[in-house]
Amino acid sequence: MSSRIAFPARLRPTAATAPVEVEHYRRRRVSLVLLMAVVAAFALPAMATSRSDAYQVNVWLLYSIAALGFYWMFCLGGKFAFSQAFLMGLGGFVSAAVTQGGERSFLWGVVVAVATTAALGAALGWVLRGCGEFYFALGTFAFVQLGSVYVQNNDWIGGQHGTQFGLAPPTIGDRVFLSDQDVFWLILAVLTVCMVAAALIERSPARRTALAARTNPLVSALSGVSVRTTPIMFLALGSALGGLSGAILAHWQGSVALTSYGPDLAIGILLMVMLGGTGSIWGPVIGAGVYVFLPTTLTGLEQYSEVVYGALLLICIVAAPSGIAGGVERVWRYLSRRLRRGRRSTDVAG
Amino acid sequence: MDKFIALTASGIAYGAVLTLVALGFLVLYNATGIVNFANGDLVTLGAYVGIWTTVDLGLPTIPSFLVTLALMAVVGLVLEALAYEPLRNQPALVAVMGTLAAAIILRGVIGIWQGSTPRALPSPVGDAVVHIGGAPIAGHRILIVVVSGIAVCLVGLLFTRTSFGRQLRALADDPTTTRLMGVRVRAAARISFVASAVLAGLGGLLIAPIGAVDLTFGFNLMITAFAAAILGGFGSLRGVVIASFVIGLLQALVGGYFLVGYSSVLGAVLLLAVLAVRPSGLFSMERSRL
Repeated sequence: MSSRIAFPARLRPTAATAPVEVEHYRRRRVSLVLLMAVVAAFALPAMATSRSDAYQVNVWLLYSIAALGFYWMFCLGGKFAFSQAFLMGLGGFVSAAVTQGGERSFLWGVVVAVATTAALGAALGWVLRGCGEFYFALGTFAFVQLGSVYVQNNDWIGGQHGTQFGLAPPTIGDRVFLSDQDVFWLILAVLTVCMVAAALIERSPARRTALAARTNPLVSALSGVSVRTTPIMFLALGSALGGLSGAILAHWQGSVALTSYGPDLAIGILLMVMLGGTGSIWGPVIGAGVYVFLPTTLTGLEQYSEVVYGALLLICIVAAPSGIAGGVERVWRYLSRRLRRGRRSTDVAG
Repeated sequence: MDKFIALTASGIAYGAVLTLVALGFLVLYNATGIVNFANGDLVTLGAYVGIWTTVDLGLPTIPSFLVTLALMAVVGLVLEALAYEPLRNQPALVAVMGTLAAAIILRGVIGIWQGSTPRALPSPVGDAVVHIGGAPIAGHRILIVVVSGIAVCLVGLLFTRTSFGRQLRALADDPTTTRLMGVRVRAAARISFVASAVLAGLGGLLIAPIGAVDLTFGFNLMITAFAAAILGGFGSLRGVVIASFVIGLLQALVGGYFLVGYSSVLGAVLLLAVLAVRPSGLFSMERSRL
């Protein structure tokens, strides 16, 4: 005799039934983001001395934006979607289509790309709203396959080879961001805005609602939490960040190719979040850094990079599910505790 | 009429291969409660191992196929030990991510071993063509249907006539009670991983002679097989077989006549449509993990 309660798929506890550590309100989170942005503004240009370094730093920051979007979808919304890489590419294609001929500006392209990817994310979430975790993931796989073929079959967006060339460089007003160093400032500013938004979400009721809906949908639904719309909202927000990142990447590089946004990058984005840590907004940024710079570190072993990525992902899942950010946070808490104890014993002795 | 017969034959052959890959999902899901995302790469690996044994080592067809399937069984065992067993007590999605990691590693290993240049596997029946109703049908497509039919019958017998099959059906029906009755779940998981890898490898061997084999060869097949497994219901052998042939024929006929550019994604469209209307699949099955 089974003691399990059979309730509808959409109310079934999901993957996320793994214990969720709900952090307390942190007043200084936004300040920390701003502080880190200032540090990055000084440190990164100084560290990126060569052209390839500058290029990699930009890719890191752009992947961080996309990975942050995946963090919202997966870690807050509880939806394991394979669509983020494709939505990045789609953002680039949409922006290319909007700005084609030079009638519309770069900003217009980015806004339309963000709106399109957010709408598609929401639509996908709505279509698959009742699916359990596996079926949702498989549904997003099917969506990506369908979208990729659509892009390849329509000249207005991608064309037969799924490629668009000759995109105008990012321009805001009269300021044209031509070199990698110029684009760095634009990307850093965008990432900072996204991280501030993420920090605000972290301390907002939306996050608590999302975690409640993810951890125990049945109880949350009974408590008045909308277990359907909350994940869709985070899916739309996360998809928007994918489109934003892809649109900037496309204009910076002057081209966009569908093959660059395939399953490898989709799994890569998952790897970024898992490596960096699923419990903090810093996880995607740290993970994206490891993902981008690891091949450089493995000089002479580039051909083994996929094996290394896979092994890292497996090690992370098995041995360090909270990722690098989780590990750093644990060490930080341990050191703070030791420091406090040390102070207390000094006070008593004094 | 010739075109219709040729397209139907193509759809049936594709449906037969889909059946093999989808059955791999079904066997594994029933025993372990997880979906194996490395299945596409197992299909690719099967094709490459077939190329290695047939073209590089020069083995005759049947020994080459048998060696390939034996190697795939070993790969299945390794996959179970590395990507599933350490995560058996974790939530299902975590175990699924383990299979994703395994997929990345597998693809990396294949890339190092075979490079990224597409390769071809010659058909055991060569360029033989059979004329049915005046339409030329490649002999290899008929071979695919025959071999897949035999494999499906064997899986059917495994399910219905063996102790392992009964255990598997019991696990799918009520894992807790089955475990309490003394069924060895680790052994069931191992055998399921082996069966799943062998079926994927056989699928790769059969479909490889139809086109070029590259690193992403098995990926699209995996997505379509997912669609077949969901449409047919993860618990029903008959349902999966029927769904595979429906998708194969849909892709060949609708894609051949009407939506030429979209034939490869009709399975995906069908999957999305079904998930929108029936989020648990057409023949849903309640399942928990061991």
